[in-house]
Amino acid sequence: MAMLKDAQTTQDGIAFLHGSFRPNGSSAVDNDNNEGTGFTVARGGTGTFTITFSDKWTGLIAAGASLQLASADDKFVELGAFTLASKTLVINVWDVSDAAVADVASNANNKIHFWVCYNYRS
Amino acid sequence: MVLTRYPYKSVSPNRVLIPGQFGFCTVAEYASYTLAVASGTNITITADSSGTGGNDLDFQATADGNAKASCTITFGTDTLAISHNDAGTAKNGLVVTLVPGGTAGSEVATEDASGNLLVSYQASTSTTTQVAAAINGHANWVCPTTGTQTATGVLSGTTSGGTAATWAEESGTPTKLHLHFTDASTDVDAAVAALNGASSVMTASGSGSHTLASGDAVAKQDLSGGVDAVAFDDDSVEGEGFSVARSGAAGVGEYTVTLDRHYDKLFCADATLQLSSAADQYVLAGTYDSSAKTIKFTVWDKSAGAAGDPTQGANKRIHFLLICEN
Repeated sequence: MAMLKDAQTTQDGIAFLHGSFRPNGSSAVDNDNNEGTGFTVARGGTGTFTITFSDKWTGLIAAGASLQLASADDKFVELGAFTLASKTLVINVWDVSDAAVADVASNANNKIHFWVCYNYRS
Repeated sequence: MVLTRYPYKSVSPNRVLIPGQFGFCTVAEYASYTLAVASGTNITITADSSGTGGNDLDFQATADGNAKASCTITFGTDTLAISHNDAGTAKNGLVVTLVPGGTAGSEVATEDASGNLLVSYQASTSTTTQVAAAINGHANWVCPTTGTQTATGVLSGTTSGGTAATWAEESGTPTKLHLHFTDASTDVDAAVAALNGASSVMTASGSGSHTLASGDAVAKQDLSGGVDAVAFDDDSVEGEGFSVARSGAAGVGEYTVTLDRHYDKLFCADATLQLSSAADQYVLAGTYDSSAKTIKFTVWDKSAGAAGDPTQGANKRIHFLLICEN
């Protein structure tokens, strides 16, 4: 088994948070299916999810998201509004053929993966 | 709430994670409108000055070229509408004169050497219909007016409104460029020439000998797509160890991230687009140049099928994570 090594970043006082959650069609997200800690997810409307983080934040350095589908489809995810005061980040699912945001059915392999890098120092 | 934090580990040695994000800037774009010409090449009208000001400009096209010169003369309470049979501008400025002294029922219309029309009628007796009949009896003139009114004295009008087959005018505030064309006669070359001859703030482009049809006419249309330049704001950058600059051609959402130091390898580059309103756009990582320490990111507009610029604004950004070897 490979030995884990320390990784470095170009900036001090930042933390990474990685996670994933399962969309649940037009129903609310079941946070018991989340992978990762320090966040919860709520469906805000069709194809729109709001992640609320629980750690102390003083700023968002960067974030990313990608869509996992059990069956490949013409959808992708993009970031929406980030609000520091509420420590929330919106992720939208875009359906190319419908040219609109779209829900994703519940499936063990239908997930939205994301990462955020944030400042935690004042 | 403050979570417990742990050292970041990697399965590979000497990994450096470089997270960052930056906002967009915009380059100046020219407002334009494209007239769809069914038979061939379209005509595009573009503002001469870039920026949003060009979006105020208007364009209109009507199939009313080759108008005939005409005038009106009040006859009693009727209005005689008199037109020359020849289309074009040559018949503008002719004088139509109704002169008493004729005989009712035998009114006479004649032209002088300059083409001016003289109509004799009987004062207080000749009717509108009788005078019009005399005008219609002349090969070069037409008057469809009918009525039973009578009149006295010398009455006259001067023709105007005769136009070329293809012409354009620019007027009003905001400025409107108006193309007047003739169905199945005006070709694209002629239309473009007329437009460019008339406008001082717009330029028409397009070429071809195919002709415009009545169906190509459009009501007043706004030019659109004009964008004011907004310089890249370094304050929009979050993260350390790199700088960002817009690169590439105008209208292409390409940005170059330059790393502060050389890394032996780029192992992974992840990029995600942030938009305040969801749209069919996404970001692609492009060329990485290790010697120049640069990597490009380009925004792709799916519906346009081309790279494109998102507008500048809050919550519109490119986020990235580079994983390099130290």
